[in-house]
Amino acid sequence: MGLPLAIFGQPKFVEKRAASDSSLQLNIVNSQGQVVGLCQVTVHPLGNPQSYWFQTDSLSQVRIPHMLPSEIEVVPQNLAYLNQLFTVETVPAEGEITLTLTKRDERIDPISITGAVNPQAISKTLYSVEVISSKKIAAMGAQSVDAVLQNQSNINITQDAVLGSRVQLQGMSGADVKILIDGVPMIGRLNGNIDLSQIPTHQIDRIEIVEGPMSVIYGSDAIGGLINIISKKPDQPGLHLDAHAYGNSVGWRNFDASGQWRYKNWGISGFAGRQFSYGYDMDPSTRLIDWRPKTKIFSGAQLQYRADKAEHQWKVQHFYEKLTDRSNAESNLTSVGGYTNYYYTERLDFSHNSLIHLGPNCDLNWQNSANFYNRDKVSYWRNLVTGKQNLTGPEDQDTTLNRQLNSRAILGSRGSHRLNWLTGYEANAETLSSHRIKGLSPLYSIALFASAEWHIRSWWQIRPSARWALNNQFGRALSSESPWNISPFIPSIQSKWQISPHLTLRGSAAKAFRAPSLKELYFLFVDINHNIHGNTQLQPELSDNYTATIEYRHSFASGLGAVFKTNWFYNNVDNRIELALLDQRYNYYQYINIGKLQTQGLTPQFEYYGANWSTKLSGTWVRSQIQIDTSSQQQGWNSVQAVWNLEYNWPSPDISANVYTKFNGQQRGFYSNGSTYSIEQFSMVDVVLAKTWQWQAGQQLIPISVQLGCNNALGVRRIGAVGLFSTPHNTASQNLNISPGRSLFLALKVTL
Amino acid sequence: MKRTSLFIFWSFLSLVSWSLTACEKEEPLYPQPQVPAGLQTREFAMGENYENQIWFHFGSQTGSSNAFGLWDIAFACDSKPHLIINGGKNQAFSLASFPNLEYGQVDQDQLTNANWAIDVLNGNQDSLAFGDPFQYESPGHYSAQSAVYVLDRGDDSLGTQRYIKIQLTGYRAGVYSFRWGYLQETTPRFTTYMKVNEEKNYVYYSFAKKNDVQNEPLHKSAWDIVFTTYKEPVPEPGTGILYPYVLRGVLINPTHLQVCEVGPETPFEAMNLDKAKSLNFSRKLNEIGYDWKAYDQGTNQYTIVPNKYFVIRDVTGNYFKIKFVSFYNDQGIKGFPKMAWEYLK
Repeated sequence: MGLPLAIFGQPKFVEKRAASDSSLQLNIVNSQGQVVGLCQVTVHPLGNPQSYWFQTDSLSQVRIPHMLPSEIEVVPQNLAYLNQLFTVETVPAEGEITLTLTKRDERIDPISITGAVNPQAISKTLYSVEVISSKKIAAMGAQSVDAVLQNQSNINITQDAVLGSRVQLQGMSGADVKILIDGVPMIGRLNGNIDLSQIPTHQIDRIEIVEGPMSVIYGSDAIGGLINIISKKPDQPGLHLDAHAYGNSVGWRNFDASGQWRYKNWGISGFAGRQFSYGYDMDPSTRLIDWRPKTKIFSGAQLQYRADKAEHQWKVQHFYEKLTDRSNAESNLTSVGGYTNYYYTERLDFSHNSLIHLGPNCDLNWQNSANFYNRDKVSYWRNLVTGKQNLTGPEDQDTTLNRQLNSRAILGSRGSHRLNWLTGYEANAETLSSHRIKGLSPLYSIALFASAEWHIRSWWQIRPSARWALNNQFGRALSSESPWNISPFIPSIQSKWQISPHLTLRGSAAKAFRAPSLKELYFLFVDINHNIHGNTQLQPELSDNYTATIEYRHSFASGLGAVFKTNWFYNNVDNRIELALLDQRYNYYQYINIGKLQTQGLTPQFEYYGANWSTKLSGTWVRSQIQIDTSSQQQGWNSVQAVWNLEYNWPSPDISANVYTKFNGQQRGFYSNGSTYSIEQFSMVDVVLAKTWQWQAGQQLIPISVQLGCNNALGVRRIGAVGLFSTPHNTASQNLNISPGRSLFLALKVTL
Repeated sequence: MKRTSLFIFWSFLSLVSWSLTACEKEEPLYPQPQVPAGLQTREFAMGENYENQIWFHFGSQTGSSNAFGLWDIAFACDSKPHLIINGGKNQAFSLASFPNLEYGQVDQDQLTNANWAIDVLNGNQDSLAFGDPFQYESPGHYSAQSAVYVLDRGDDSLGTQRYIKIQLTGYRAGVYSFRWGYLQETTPRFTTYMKVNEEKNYVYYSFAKKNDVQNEPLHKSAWDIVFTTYKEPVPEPGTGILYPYVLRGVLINPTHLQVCEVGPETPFEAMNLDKAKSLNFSRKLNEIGYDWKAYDQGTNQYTIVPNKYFVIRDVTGNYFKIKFVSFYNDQGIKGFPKMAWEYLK
C-alpha cells in the first residue's frame, strides 16, 4: 500500500480494496467531495522516463489501464483548484481511488495567463504580475476600467474631457503601455492613449498588470508594461442571467444584462448594456459642460467549445460612444452662438482563440483577431437664439479609421519540467487614416519568439527569451529588393529564486521597443501657421529595463494570509520619438528620434487577509529624468503615490464595507519643446457598502445585491496646475479637472 | 424580509427604466441680446481663409476692403524713407541682409547661415527687416547702404524665383530706386523706380508682377485701422522663446490714430470721456494687434479674451472705446471679426 506524496498542497488520499486487474479508476473531487470538472492527468511511472496522458470526463473520472507505481499529476481545468502531484505505489483492491484537490487561495495566489500558453499561479511566473479579480472590481462599484485602475498604486490615470482617460505605468506614458483584451492588442489610440473608460467592467473576469517590458511576447508598445483585460467565459453549467443597474449623483445612469448557457461541451454567452451620462457642469453660468455628456452602448457574444483535448472560443464585441462637446456661448451683441461638436466612437472586435493540447507535455494557444476602430468628429455652429445649427467647414470635421488584423500562436510545454520551453509567432497588419494623416501605407509586421525556462535547481529558474521581427516601415532593410525591414532584436532574461516556500526573489533584464506609430510616420498638418510632418525614417524607441522583486506570499491556516512585495525597476529609453522644431523660420516640426527618458522607482506593498477582512497598503516612488535632445539639459523629478484599501465583511447580515484611499503626490511632466508642467498633490477616498438579499420567487431564491457608495468623499474637483495646456498662441489654464466632485451611487445586481 | 426584497426588486426595475430612458437634455434657447444704446457694431469680413483686409474709419464710419497679399515689399511715403515686407504672406517670408558682400557674391551658399528677419511692427525703424538702410545727404536726398538683401518669398513652387536679391540704390526727390534679380544671377536683372504717393502711407511692389501694385484703397487720412494678416514674433509659453507666427489682427494708421489698451480694472461700460483723456496712448502699429482673441487647442476654436478693450483717439481728437465681440459670423465661420464701439462724449 502506497502513501501519497503531496508536493503541492495537502491532498487527501482515499484508498479502496484492490481490483482483480491492474487498471485504476481515479475520482477527482474537492474537499466537499464534489466533482471538479475536467482534469488533465499525467502518469509518470516510477523509474520509467515515459509519461502517459489522460483526460477525465466531466464527472472528473478517468480509468487508467495497466497501472504501475507512479506519480500522478492532476491539472484541473477549473483554475479554482491547485495543480497537484500524488504518488500511487500500489493499485487498491477495488481498483478505484479518490484524489482530493485543494482549493486555491485566490486572494494570495491568483491566476495569470499573460505571457504563457496556459494559466498559472502568479507565484509560479517569472515576472511580477498584479491581478485584480472580478470580485475586487465588483466591490469597487467601478463601471469602467479606468475607475478600477484609479485605485491601484504605480498606475496614474488622468482624464481628458474629449480624449478620455490616459494611463501611466512605471512613470511611462500611455504610448509605452500596451493594453490587451484577452491577449489581443487594443487599437484606437488618441495622442498615444487608449481610452480605458470605453471598457465596461461587468464582463471582466480579471485584469492582469505586468510591470516592466513584455516586448518578447507582445512586441511593440510594451516598454512600460502591459494591462491584459481577461473576459469572463461561459464556464458555469446551465443557464445564468445577470442584470446590473447603476445611478449616481453626477449624472450617470447605467444598465446592462448578460447571460450564459452551458450544455456539455458548448458554452454561449452574451451581454448588452448602456451607460449614459447627462454630463456634469461645475460652472453652470457657461455653456461648456466640464464633464461632457456621454452615451455608451455595448454588446457582445461568445461561443465556446470545450473538448477533451481542445478548447475553442469565438467572440464578437461592439462598442459605440457618443460624446457631446459644447463650446462656451459667444455673444456678438446681435446674436449668440456656439459650437457643438459630436464625437462618435465605434469599436468592433472579432477574435478566435484555441487552446489545443497536442500531447502530454505540449500545448498550443492560437489566437486570431480583427479589430475595427472608427472615430468621427462632427462639428456644428449653433445659433443659440434660434436653435438652428449648421455644419462648420470641412477642416473642422474628421474621421479616424484604424484597422488591425492580428494572429498569434504560442506553442509551449506543459507541466513542471527541468526545461520548459515556449515558442510562437505574431503577425500583425494595421492601417490608419484621418484628415491629417496622408500618404500612409499599412504597417505589417511578423515576429518569431522563443523562450526556455530552465530549472537549474529546485529553487532556481532562469528564462532567457528572444524575439526576431520583420516589418515593412522602419529599421534596416532586409535586402535591397525586399520590402521587409529588420526590427530590433529583443532579448530578455528573467530569473526566480524560491528562497523558501513563501519567499521569492525575482530579477530580470530586458530590452524592449516601441515602434513608431502610424501617426508619427505619416502625420501631415501644413497650413499658414502649422508645418508638422511625420517621418518615415523613424527608428523604434529602444529601452533597457531592469527589475528586482522580493515577494512573500503565505496562506496561513484558518483563512488568514499575507502578501508582501517590493518591486524595484529601472527603465532607460533611447531614441525617444519627439516632435521637434527643426527649422524655426519655417516653423518646421517633425517627429525625430532624439529624446532620452529614464525612470526608476520602488513599489512596496503589503496585503493582509483575515477571516472577514483584508487590507492593502502600497506606495510608489518614481524618479523620472528626461533629456529632450543632445543640446538640452537633463531634467528630473520625483513623484510618489500611496494607496490604502480596507475591506470588512459581516457574515451574518451579509454586509461588506470597502474603503479605497489614494494619495497622489505632485506630478510633473514635460512637453516636446522642453517645457514642463506640474500638477498639485491630491487625495481620493471612496467608500462602498454592499449587501445581498435573497428574494423568494416561487421555488427559486434570487439574489439581489445592493451597493451604496460615495466616490471622492473628499470632494476634490479641480487642482492647481502650472504650465499645463500651454501651447503657442494659446492661454494656459491653471486648473485641471480631476473629478466631478463628491458623488453618491446606488448599484443593484440581480442574478437569475 | 419579503417586503424588503420586493422593495429592492422594484427599486431595481425603477433604476433600470430610469437608466434606459435617460437621454441628453435639449439645450434651452438664449434670449435675443439687446445692443446697449450708443454702441455700434460691425462685422469685418476677412473671409474664412483671411483672403481680405478691411480698412475702417471711425469718424465717418466707412470702410473699404481689398485682397490681401498682392505685394511683397513697400516703400514709405512719409518724410523718413524706409521699407517694409509683407511677412504675413507665409511662414517663411523673410529677409536676410549681407552688408559686406557684393551683389554677385551672394548665392545659395550664403543662405546657409543667413540671419532671416521679419518686421516687428512697433513703430521703430530698427525693428524692421530692412532696418534703417538710408543715410541722409540733403533735404529729399538719401543714399542707400551698399548692402545686398535676399527676400525669401517662401513658396517652393516658385523654384529658382523664390529668392529675390535686392540692392537699394537711393532715394531722390520722392523716388526710391533699387536693383533686383534672382538669387542665382550675379548681376541685377531689373532696375526699378518707385515714386512715393503723398496720399498713401506706402507704395507697394510685387516681384511676381514686376510692378507696383495698389494696396491702400483709401486716402491715408480716410482710415484708422486695418484688419489684416501680418507676422510677429510670439513668445512660446513655458520657454519664452520667440517664434515668428502669421497672425490675424488689427494694425493702426499711426499718423492718424493713437491707442490705449484697457484691462479689467475699468470695465468697458464704465469708460467715459474723462477717464479716456487720462490714458496714455501709443502709436505702435500693432498696439491693438491679435491677442484680443485666443485659440483654444482643446476645442480648436477662437475665443474673445474677456475684459480686454481699447480706447482710441483719432487725429481730430475724438475718443472711441472699442471691443471685439466675436471672430465668427452667424454661420460659425471664422475670419469674420465683429467689433463694437462707442463714441465718447
